[in-house]
Amino acid sequence: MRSTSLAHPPHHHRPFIGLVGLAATLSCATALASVTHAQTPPPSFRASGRVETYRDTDATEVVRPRVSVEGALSDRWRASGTYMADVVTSASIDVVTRATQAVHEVRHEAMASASHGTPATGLTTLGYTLGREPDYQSNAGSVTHARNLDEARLWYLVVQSSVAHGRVGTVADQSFERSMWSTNASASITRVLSATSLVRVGLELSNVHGFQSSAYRTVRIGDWSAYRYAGDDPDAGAWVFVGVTETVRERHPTERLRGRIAFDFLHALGDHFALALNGAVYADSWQMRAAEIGPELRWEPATAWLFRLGARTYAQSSTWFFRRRYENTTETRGYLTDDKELGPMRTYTIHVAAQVPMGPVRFDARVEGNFYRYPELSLLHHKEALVFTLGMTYRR
Amino acid sequence: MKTFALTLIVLLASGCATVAPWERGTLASGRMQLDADADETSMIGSRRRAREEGIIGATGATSGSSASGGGCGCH
Repeated sequence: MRSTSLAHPPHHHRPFIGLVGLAATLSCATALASVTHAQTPPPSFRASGRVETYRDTDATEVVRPRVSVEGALSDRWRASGTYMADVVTSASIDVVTRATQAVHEVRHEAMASASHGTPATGLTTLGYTLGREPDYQSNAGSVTHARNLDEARLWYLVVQSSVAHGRVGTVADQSFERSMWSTNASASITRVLSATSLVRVGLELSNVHGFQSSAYRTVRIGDWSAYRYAGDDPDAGAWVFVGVTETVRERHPTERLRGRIAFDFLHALGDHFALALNGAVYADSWQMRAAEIGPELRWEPATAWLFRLGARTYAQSSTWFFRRRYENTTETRGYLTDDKELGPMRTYTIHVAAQVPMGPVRFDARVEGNFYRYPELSLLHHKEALVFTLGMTYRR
Repeated sequence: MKTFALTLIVLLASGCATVAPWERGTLASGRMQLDADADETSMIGSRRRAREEGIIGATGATSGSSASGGGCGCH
């Protein structure tokens, strides 16, 4: 476990995992907001279970089970609960350049929420998420309010705010403890444009304060190069590095302000088809800029049956302190990173999904293929990933 | 980003059509749900995506198809 955790830098996914949990916690409110325009009441009870498997060419596999229940407690009160886990096995370059064996780790996350009101008159949701990992724990709380602003013109507003605290540790050093706070606020307006089209526009702002670098990761200094080890020494690493003058701990700034504007557009094409288009632009105080766009074609041959085919492309620039090589430890004011996600990156995705009803149960499946490109990364230029999801949902 | 925001505002403000309740059948259909994956797959996919991309996503309020992310390739 020691080498496992050493090899698996926890901090990067840690700051976000609590807020991601909030997304799940708030999915109830979001779903309610999204159905508001259709005047469709939410189910009185819903239970779902699903499993996602992920595998990429960077030697990483994830199995992710998830169960969720949601129900009406009265005419105005609803509650939901979700549990999920990440079972991760990885021998990614993030791992094998730092340890001699693959990572195996289980992460747990539990969410609960309670909502009061109705989508038409105003729905307020309180949520809480707890995330636990071998060397990380997060607690997050949120409040969301969804309201119909104008029944005649069909404007719908959702505002949301959340706070998350993460406690970062390391398995190797029990005395190591750092904290991180995330605050987030967002608002979106959904507008029905006609009987066959609608649009949603959203703005999100967030700030992350505290420890945001890896507790494990180090950065190599110098004009170094690397090649894969081809010998038979079982204790040797997977990579051999030449020209490294110094190795130092990764260090990121402790403040990060982030902003994102997103849109979703839906247009019905005849009686059975629809075209969806979503996009977003993003900027942060670390000077990262990003944009994404994704079209999707939907086919609904009968009520509750749905087939979808979509694509997505995403591009980001690097943060201001990211370098392919660092000549010394001061050229970027002492901030150094070996995080490939802080460098330039491109993603291309294609997916197909299906939903098939059988009485009160709906089965769904999704297959997604991804291509990731890291033009500034020395040890990994690209990777491919395949994601399968199978699920079922019971509603009444 | 300013151009993008301006475009969205224009898009949002354009048109003044009202849709009578009896004309909302298409909007109520499954293919017209903004968050087609909201309670099933997208949240899961978002977790993975958010880890692999430096982008921050919205929580549910802004887009059900994304989630707040911190930029991590540690999936």
